[in-house]
Amino acid sequence: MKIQLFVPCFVDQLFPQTAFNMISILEKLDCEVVYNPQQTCCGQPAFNAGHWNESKIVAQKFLDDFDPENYIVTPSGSCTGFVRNHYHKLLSGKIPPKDLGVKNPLLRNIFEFSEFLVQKLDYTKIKASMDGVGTYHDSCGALRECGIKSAPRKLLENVEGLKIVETEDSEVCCGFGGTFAIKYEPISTAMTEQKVHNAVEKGADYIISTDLSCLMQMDGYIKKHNYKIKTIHIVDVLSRGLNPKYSSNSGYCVS
Amino acid sequence: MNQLHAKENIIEKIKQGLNRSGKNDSSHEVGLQSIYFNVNDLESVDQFITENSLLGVQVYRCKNDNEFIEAFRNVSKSKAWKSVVCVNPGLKKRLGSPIIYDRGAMYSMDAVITECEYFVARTGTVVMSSAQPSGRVLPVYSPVHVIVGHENQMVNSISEALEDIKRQYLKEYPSALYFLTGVSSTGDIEKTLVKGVHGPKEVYIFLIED
Amino acid sequence: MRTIQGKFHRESQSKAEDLEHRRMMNHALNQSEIAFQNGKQQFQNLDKAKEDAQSVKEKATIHLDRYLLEFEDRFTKNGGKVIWARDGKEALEAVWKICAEKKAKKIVKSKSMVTEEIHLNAFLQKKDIEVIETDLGEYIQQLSEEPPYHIVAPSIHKSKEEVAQLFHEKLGVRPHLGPEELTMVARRQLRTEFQEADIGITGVNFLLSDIGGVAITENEGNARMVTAFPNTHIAITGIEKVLPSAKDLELFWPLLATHGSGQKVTVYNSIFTGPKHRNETDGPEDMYVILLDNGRTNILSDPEMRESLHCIRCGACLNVCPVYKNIGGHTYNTVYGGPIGSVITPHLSGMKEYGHLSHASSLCGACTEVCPVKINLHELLLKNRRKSVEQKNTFRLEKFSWYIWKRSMLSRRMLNTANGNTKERMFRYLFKKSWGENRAIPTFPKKSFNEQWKERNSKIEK
Repeated sequence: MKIQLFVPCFVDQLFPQTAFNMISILEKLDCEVVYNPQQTCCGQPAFNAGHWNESKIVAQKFLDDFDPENYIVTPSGSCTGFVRNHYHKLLSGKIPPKDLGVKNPLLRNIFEFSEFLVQKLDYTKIKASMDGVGTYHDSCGALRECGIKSAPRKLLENVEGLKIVETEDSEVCCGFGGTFAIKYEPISTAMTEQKVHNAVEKGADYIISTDLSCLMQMDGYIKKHNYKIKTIHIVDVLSRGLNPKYSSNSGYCVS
Repeated sequence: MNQLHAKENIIEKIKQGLNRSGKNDSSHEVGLQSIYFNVNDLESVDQFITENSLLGVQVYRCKNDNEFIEAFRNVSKSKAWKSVVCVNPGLKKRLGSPIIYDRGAMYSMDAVITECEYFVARTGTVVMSSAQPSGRVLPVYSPVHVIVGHENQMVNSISEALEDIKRQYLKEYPSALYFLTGVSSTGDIEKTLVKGVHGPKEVYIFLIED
Repeated sequence: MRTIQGKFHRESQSKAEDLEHRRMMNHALNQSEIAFQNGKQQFQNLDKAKEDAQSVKEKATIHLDRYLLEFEDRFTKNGGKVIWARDGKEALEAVWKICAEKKAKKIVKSKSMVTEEIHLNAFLQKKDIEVIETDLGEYIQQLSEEPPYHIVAPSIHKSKEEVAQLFHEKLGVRPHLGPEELTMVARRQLRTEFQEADIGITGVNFLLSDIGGVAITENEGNARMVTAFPNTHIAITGIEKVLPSAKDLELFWPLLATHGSGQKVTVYNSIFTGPKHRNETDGPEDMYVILLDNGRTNILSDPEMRESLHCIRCGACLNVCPVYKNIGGHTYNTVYGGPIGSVITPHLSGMKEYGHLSHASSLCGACTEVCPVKINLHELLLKNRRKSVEQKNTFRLEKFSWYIWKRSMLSRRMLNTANGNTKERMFRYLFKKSWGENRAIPTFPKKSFNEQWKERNSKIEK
């Protein structure tokens, strides 16, 4: 199976190891992974800020950078949800009728990593192991834009040595929200603070998610306040125990 | 202020606003059949009683009028109601007893007893109207509200009740219709549930089979 | 209008850092959530209920003129009087005219967000008319001289100790009373007021066009009292509250009750079709319904925003909004707060002044997920952001930043120009202040994935 890798802009800049780990996993599952080095970004940051003209131009480049007939897999529920649910709005320029189907096949072929593994590949073949207690954070993009809830949990169940605990607020926003985290820092921080405290109180050693933007937000708070809890992307959890093709490190999201 | 002007202006703005596209009538099928857990006729009284017990409302099922009167007297005695107001002539006659007074006693009453228009099984609702002799004030002002009705006044849903009212009043609806479910409550002080805020603190329902 | 935005920044910071406020709101909203999960159990198919409700509301909105005229026709035939008000000023004038005619000195009021919108109480008080709020939460807020904190639960933010202290100070009762005792105090006080009032004013939950009636929903019984004792009843409503038929209440009463307070249906659902009939025992001799536009036709005329008029004011979006939870109701400084308030206020009161509310959101989408009439609330916030940019409300610096962003994203080369250290320094320089004191600056790896991949693949090729 041929898979096109989409490395979101912030993963490219801040968490390159996660992208390499994802390649390792996909290749372990017998996929042929291709990467177009011209790619940059799906255009979501500008869209969310209301600058749709700039977003549209970058979105059009995105469509040129990928082959619409092959799968695209990305370690981000947020980017996946944006392309899948909002590209037609952004690019059609008109108010879409209620039941506009997904016209461009690319919109049907883009997947977030964990949903792809569970829906399209035999994920039980991955033998990862990680000791400790983890709690899963449902990123808003993954949960509400893509409907991802059980896939990551299924994958984490299979990790040897990892105990998963649920917090009451797993579905509550971490407080990142793109420019919101900068424009309204006190509110953003208050939201993050509560997420971290609740995870710590549940006895978790790790906060795991499909979205590095969330993890980065929570990690920033954790580091500043010297908490022991760590944030880790689900790709990095699952790549543990693999013989990586590329040099790996501990796999924590901040290398 | 020119009323006609305001009305015309608003209607005109609405028409113009809607003309600016996006005016598609939805093809979505609206239908209530599968939305709630439906109550079938055989279960309706039980459903009504269950709902009310969840709401803290005591429902007494009586085979006939005599049973009702006895049950009511027992409740009245056990609650030590000294003054029970009843303004429904038919009911008054059946209840007889010297503890029943008229509307004038409303400021010192312990309870009011009224009939009702319908009962709604799915939600445990009592339907009343301003067309009844009890009117608007008495049933809400009283600290305790006792309702008596017949099982054949039971319908399964709110829309059935509304249909029946429409038929009953030949479209000349009473000025007020009341759908009463449970007991006056509030959670406005730190989400603590308190009963009997403005309306009755206690409600009792007597359902007569015959 | 930077001051409105500046005030919002300051107050949101202050509230977000207030741990006692956080505790209160978490407690209250957790209770709401538990109740909501319970209330949902009555639905065999909640998704269909919401789709049906959305459909009914769409129908009501796209035929709004017809339904309003039908309502007026029937309500008038029932003996009622309809008054049309283009804005708050006209609505207030209409109320004043009735008060003057009836020589009213005292008014009792049940909960109505529309009356907050037109600042009814302040207006009447200036005319020397006493206005008494009778909903317990509103009564508490009135005693504290504060506006409501939440669309459905006006005093959600106050602890029972605060309420006890308030009653002690303002009503002279013993200090440290519990919630039950406090409620009985309010009950006793207000009973007299109901009976002495000249006019009763209510809001409206739904306008029933086919029977010419107004539906009012409550748990306490104060709206029943307000419409039972006084000789005149005035119901004030936004024009968007229309339902095509009374039968729609079968759907809307339970949806409103479940999403508003986790009940199957609210305790008292009343329908008023007009003043008392000659043969009825009691009730007001006159009933007026004031139909208020006040900017709603503006929203109606924007096809993208139109669905926000479907709102049934259940308050569920506030209950699930993490921003509302952390900053509370007063910080918005608007009549309607939370997600729905942030969506509609720019269109009612100005995008320049209130557009910032649409940015004070992480776009988590919890509001859209919970809305019983399926309004795409977080998408409407996005659209507000876009409209704000189109209306040129953005700072030049921000516009320029997005221009630079676009150029970078179009050029792989540009993105790969600086190394990680430089990027981190740049990030620190640009965002240190706004990133705040509570988060460590992220560490930038020396090389991006793109650069590393190219290196590794060129090695392999070699």
